[in-house]
Amino acid sequence: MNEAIVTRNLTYRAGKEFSIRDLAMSVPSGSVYGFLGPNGSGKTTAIRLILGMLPANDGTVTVLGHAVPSGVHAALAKIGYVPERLHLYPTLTVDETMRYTASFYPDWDAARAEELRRQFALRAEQRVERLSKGEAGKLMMLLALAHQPELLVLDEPTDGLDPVVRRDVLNALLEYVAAGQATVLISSHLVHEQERICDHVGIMDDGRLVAEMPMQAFRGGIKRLRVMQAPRELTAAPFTMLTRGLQTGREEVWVVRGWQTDMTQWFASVGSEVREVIDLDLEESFVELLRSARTTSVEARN
Amino acid sequence: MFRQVLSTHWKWAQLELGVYSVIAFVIPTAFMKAMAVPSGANESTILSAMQGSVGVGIVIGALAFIAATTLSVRPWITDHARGHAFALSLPIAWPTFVRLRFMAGATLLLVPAVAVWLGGSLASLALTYPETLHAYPVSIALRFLSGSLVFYSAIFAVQYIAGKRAPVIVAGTLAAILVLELFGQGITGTSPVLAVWNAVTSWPGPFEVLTVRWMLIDV
Repeated sequence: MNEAIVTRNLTYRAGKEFSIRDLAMSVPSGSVYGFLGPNGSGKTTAIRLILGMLPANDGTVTVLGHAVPSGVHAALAKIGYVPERLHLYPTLTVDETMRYTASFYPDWDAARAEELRRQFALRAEQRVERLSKGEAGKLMMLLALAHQPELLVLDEPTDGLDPVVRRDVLNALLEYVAAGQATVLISSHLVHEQERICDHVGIMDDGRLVAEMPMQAFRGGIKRLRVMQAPRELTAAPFTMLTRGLQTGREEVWVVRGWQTDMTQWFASVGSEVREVIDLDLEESFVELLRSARTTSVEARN
Repeated sequence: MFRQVLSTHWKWAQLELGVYSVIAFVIPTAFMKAMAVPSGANESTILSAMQGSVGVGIVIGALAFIAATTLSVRPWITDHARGHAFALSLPIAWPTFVRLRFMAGATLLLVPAVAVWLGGSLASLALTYPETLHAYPVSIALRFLSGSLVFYSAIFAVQYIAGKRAPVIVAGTLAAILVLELFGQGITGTSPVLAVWNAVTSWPGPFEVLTVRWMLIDV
């Protein structure tokens, strides 16, 4: 099995509006896949569809080799899930919550759970409703990790956490990934955080996956170019144009994807010249990708 | 798995169940003491005592409804407030989870039922009544259990089938019943609702247990 998660033409409508449209994503096994997108772009809905928590209107989902929804329970036994919001029972204590959750997982490792509880400084007798946001986040991470999952699905796991707690949660995650062959799908709108831990990214916007690529390609492959005597038509361009704008006179500013150094030759072949190649940081790349996707979407509608 | 589901169910409803159990235990003795039949009492006094026994039955019946409502509503509200996300993220089929929840609540209905049996037994032992009358503490406890199970099943089913649309569905059903009754009365002069009620509340209707007399002391 080369892919932990595969979706094809996944579509979900909430009322008359599309929430998710034709989602086709592939999360390679063993990867840490950053699921990026602005708030409201459909990341949480996509995750719920992948985990069988929402019924899709169309399309297919396969998780760890199991078709969803028919085989979702076999898949869920091997998945650790941290939702966006606290989903645990408020009146149970930490210890009761651990015992309750453990009873559903045949591979629950009680010793590891206890170790994580101590590591996260969670008091066994504390009620869930009395936990701070950071403690609640740690408890959900504990529950996700203690049954030795093959796949971790984390929906904004560090959103709203202070830097110390965020570091604790991410360290626990990285330790787990380093020790085994777990695949991680981690959604976030915090682009820089994803850069540190992810090796693949998928970018959502307005319910669509607008880009999916290795982190290396995302980090180094999107450039801003200052182009002199830019050609009107892009015939056989070896890169993908994201945005194109007039700067001054005959100079244009392009943002391109899939850039490599030797591509300057192409400009010479069409009678133009690249004056400058500017590196974009991850957040700028993310914004340019979204801008391009939105422009394409508006043009398609018109 | 069931033990843990039962444990959460108990945690959410233990206070109410404790109160109901105390009431169920105390009510039979309190009522029957108030209606105590002196030795050698005449027929009218005995009938009056039996009316007291009917009073116990009404209170026990109401308690069955309240206990059933508590045990079905409390866990559902807790799950529903979080969109059932915890349950749906567990590696268990939704129908299996719902079955476990149902069984946990049904099991806990035994707590007030046992209290009804103990209270009824104590009341019948503590009182003197004519030889023509008999105490039925086991029978009234079983009726409590059956009645509360019927209520519990009905409320549980509406919640888990209708979900957040339950109030709309209940209101819609009541409106449909009203319209049916008005049309039935207007066209045939008979009450279709009464006919349905009689069908479901007399043997073998599912609600027969609710309409029989719940007597602790009877002939």
